[in-house]
Amino acid sequence: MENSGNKILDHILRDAREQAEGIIADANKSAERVIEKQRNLALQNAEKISEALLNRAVNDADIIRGKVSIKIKKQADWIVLSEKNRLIASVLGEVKIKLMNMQKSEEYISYIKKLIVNAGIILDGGVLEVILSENDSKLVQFDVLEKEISDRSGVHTHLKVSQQKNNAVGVIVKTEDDKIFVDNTIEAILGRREKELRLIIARFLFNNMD
Amino acid sequence: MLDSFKAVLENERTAEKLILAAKEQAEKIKINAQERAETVYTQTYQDTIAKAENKSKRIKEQAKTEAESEAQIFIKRAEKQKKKIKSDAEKKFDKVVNLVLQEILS
Repeated sequence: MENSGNKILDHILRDAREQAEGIIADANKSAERVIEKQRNLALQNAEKISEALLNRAVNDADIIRGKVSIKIKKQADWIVLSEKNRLIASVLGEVKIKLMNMQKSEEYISYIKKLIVNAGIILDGGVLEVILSENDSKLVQFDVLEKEISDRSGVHTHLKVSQQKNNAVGVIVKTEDDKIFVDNTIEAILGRREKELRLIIARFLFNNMD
Repeated sequence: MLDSFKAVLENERTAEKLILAAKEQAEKIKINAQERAETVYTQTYQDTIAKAENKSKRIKEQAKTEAESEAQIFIKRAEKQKKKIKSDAEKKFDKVVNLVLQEILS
C-alpha cells in the first residue's frame, strides 16, 4: 500500500517535470521560429535593396568606364596639343628674338619706315609725333615718309620726332594732341597678331608645307 | 491515510510550482526571443546591405581599373604622335621662323 502511494507521488512529480520541460521546450522552439522568421524577413527586405544597389552599381560602372575613357582620351589629346603649343611658342620666341636683333640688319630701317607709314595711314595723316629709340631717330629721314602718308591718306602730313624716347624695338606714332596713338613696337605687333601668327605657324609646322 | 493524502497534496503543490515556474520561464524565453528577433532582423538587414554595398564598390572600382588599363593605349599612341610631331617640327623649324618673319616684315 505504501509502495503504491509512493508511485503515485513520484508519478505526480514526474508528470509535472515532463510537462514543465515540454513548456520550456515549446517556448524554445517557438523562440527559434520567431527569430528565424525575422531573419528571413530581414533577408527578404534587404535583398530588394541589395538588388537595386547592385543594379545601380552596374549602371554606375558603365558610366565610370565612359568617364575614364573620355578623361584619358582628353589626356592623350592634351599630350599632343601641349607639344604643338610648345613648338608654336618656341617658333614665336625665336621670331621675337630675331626681330629684337634686327637692329643690326640691313632691312631694319626699311621696316621701321614701313611701320611709321603704316601708323601714319591708320592715324589718317596730319601732324604726327614719332617716338623712336635714340639710335633709330638718327637713322630715319621723314620727308619721304611724310609724302607717302600724305599720298595714301589724302591728308598733308608732317612727322615730328618726339622728345620722348622709346626703349623697345619699333616705333610709336601719335597725334599731336596725344589723343590717339599707334603702338608699332615689336612687342605690341606680336601681341596684336599672336592669334593669327599662331595659326600660320601651326599650318606650316604641322602640315606638309612643300 | 491522512499522511498519504497530505503527501499527495504536497506533491501536487510542488508539481503546480514546477509548471508555474516553467510557464514563467517560457514567458521570459518568449520576451527574450522578441528582443533577439529584433536584433537579428537589424543585424541581418545591415549585414546584407553592407555586403551589397561592398560588392557595388568592388564593381565600380573594377570598372575604373579596367577602363584605365584599356585606355592606356590612347596615351601610348599620343606619346608616339608627340615624338613624331616634335621630330617633324624640328626639321621645319628654321623655315617656319623665316616664313613668319617674312609675314611680319612684308
